[in-house]
Amino acid sequence: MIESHAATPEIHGHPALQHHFENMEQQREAGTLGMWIFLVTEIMFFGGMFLAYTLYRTLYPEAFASASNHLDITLGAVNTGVLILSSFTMAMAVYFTQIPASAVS
Amino acid sequence: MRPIESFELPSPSKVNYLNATYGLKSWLLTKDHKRIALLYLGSITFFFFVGGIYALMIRLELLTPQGDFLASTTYNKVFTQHGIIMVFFFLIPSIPATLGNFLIPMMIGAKDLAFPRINLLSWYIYLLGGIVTIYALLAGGVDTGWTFYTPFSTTFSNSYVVATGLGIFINGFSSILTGLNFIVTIHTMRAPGMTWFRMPLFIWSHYATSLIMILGTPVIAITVLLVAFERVAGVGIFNPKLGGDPILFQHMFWFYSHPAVYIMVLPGMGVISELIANFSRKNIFGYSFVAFSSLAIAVFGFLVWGHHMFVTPQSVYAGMIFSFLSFAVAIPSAIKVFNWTATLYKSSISYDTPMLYALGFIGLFTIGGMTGLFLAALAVDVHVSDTYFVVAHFHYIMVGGTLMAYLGGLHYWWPKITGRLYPEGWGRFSALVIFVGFNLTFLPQFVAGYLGMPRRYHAYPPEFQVFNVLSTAGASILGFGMLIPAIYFVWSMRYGRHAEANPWHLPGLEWRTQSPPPTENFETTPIVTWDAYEFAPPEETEVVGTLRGEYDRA
Repeated sequence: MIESHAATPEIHGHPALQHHFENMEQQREAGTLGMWIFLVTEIMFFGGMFLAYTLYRTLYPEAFASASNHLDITLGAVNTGVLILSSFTMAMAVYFTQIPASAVS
Repeated sequence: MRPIESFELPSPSKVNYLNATYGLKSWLLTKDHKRIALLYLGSITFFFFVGGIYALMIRLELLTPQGDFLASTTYNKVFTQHGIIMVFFFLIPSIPATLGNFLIPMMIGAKDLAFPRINLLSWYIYLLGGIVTIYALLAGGVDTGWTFYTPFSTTFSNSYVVATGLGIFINGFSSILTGLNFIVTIHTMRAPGMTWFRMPLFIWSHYATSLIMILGTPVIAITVLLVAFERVAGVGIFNPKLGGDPILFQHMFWFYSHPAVYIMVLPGMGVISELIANFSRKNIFGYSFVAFSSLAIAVFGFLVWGHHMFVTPQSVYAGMIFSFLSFAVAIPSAIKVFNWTATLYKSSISYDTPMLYALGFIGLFTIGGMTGLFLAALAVDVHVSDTYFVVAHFHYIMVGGTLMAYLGGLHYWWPKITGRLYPEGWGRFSALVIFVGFNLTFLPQFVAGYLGMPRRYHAYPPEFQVFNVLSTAGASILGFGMLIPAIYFVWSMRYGRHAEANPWHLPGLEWRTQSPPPTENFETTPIVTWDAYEFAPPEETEVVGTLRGEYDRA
C-alpha cells in the first residue's frame, strides 16, 4: 500500500511500529488506554467476588473472626511478600524500558 | 455541498483482502479485522442454526396441550439450551463481532483495530467457549434455564451446569476483549478530520455497547464461577442451608444480564440509524441526541436490574426505585425511535431490502419497548411475571430488534463485504416473510401470557392451544424465511453480480474504497472534511432515477 499521509518518515520507520498505526505516539497511546481498560475489567471481575465476601462478612462477623484464627501467619506473610516484590520488579522493568539506555549506566 | 455523484471512487483493483493471500493458514492466523469478522460470521451462523433447531423443538412440543413430543426433563434442557446458545453465542457477538469488527476501522478511516492480535484471540476464545458448551450439551445437557437460578443450579440440578458455566465463562472474555479493542480503536485510531461528531452513529452505538461489555461481562464471569465453585466445593455462597443467599445470585446475574440486553440491541440501533439516514437520503434528525441516547442507555441500563426481581423478597422501596429507573431507560430508546421517524418525514425513501428490515425494526422494537413498560410497572409485573407475556416481550426486542437489524445490516454491507450483490427480489421477499412469520409467532404469546400461560412448561391447559398453534405456524414461516437469505447469500458469493465500490451511492467512508476493500482498507489514509450523512440537497443533485434503478445498473 502506498503511504502518502505518513507525517514524518523517520518516525514512521521505527522498527517497533506496527503496520496499522501512523506513528509511535499513536501506538503508545493505544497501548496505554488498552491497559487501563483491562484494569477496569479486572476491578469489575474481582468486585463481584468482593461483594459476596463483604456481604457475608457483615452477616456473619463471628464466623469470620473465629475462622481467621486458623490462618497461618508465616504462609500469609510470605505470600504477601512475594506479591509485593513481583509488583516492584514489574514496575522497575517498565520504568527502565521507558528511559533511554544511556541514562541507565 | 458537493453532489454525491462526484465522489472520487478508487479504480477497481484485483487485489483485495479476500484474495491477498490464500490457504487455510492465512485465514486461521489472520490479523485482518475483515477476515476475523468473516470467521465470526461463519461461527455465529452455525450457533444460530443450532439454537434455531432447539426453538423448533420447543414449538413442536407446544403444538398440543399434552406433553407428548418431549419428556418434561428433555423439554427443560431444550429451552435452556435454546436460550444459552442464542443469547451467549449468537445475539451478544452477532452485530459487534461481525459488522462492528468489519466496519468500525473502515468507518473511522483506520487500517485495522488497535489490537489485531487480541481481535484474533477473541475469536479463538469464543470458539473454545463454544466447544466447551457444545460438549456440555452433547454429554447430557443442562436444565436450569439460561438464567442458572440458585439454589436449583447449585444444589438440585443433575445436569452439566459446571461445564456449561465454564463455556459461558470462557466466552465472556471474548466479548470483553472485543469491547476493549473497540473503545481503544475509537479513541485513538480515527483518521485526520474524523472528529467525534463526524462519526457515523453506528460507531457511537458500538462505543456504548463496548462500555457495557467491559463493565458488565466480568461480573457474569465471576458469578458463574461462584456457581461452579459452590457445586464443586460445596461452599454455601448461594445455598440458604449453609447460610448463603440465593437472591444474591439474582442480583449478580442481572447486574450483567439486564445490560446484556443493551449489548444485544444497541449495535442494532446503530445499524438502524445508518439504514434510516442512508435509505431516506437525509441527514439524521437530531444527530447528537441519537448519539448521546446510546450512552444514556449504557449508563441507565446498569441501574435497572432489580426489575427482574419484583417477585422476590426485594425491598418494596428498592422495587419502586427500580421501577422508576426502568421507565426512565425507555426515554433514550424513545428518543431514537422519534428521531428515526422524524428523519423519514419528507425524505426520499427507497424500499430496498435493508430498509424493509429497518422499517420492520422500528415497529417491532416499539412493540417490544412498550410491553417492557408493562413489565416495569410493579403491579402489572406481578400478574405477568414468568408468563409467555415476558417471553413475547423479550423476543420482540431480541429477534424483532437485534435480528432484524443484523439481517438488515448484513444485506446493506454485503456488497462491501463480499464484492457481490445479493438478489434484491429474493431479499425483499424474505424480509416480508420473516416479518409476517415473526409477528405470527410472538403476537399470540402476548395474549396467552396475559391470560396466564406460564413459561417453561411442556404441557398446558387446552384453552391455550389456539395461541400455541398460531405461534408454531408462525415459527415455521419464520424458519422458512430465514432459510432464503442463508441460501442466496451463499449463492451470491459465487454467482452474484460484481458490486462496484459504492453500489448504494452513499457518502460514508466505508463506501469510498473498493469492494471488497484492500487489506489496509484505503489506498491512502483518508482526510475527513465532511459530516456523517452529508447528502447534497435535492436541487443540487442531478436526478438520476431511483436508488433502485442505480442498483440495477450496477
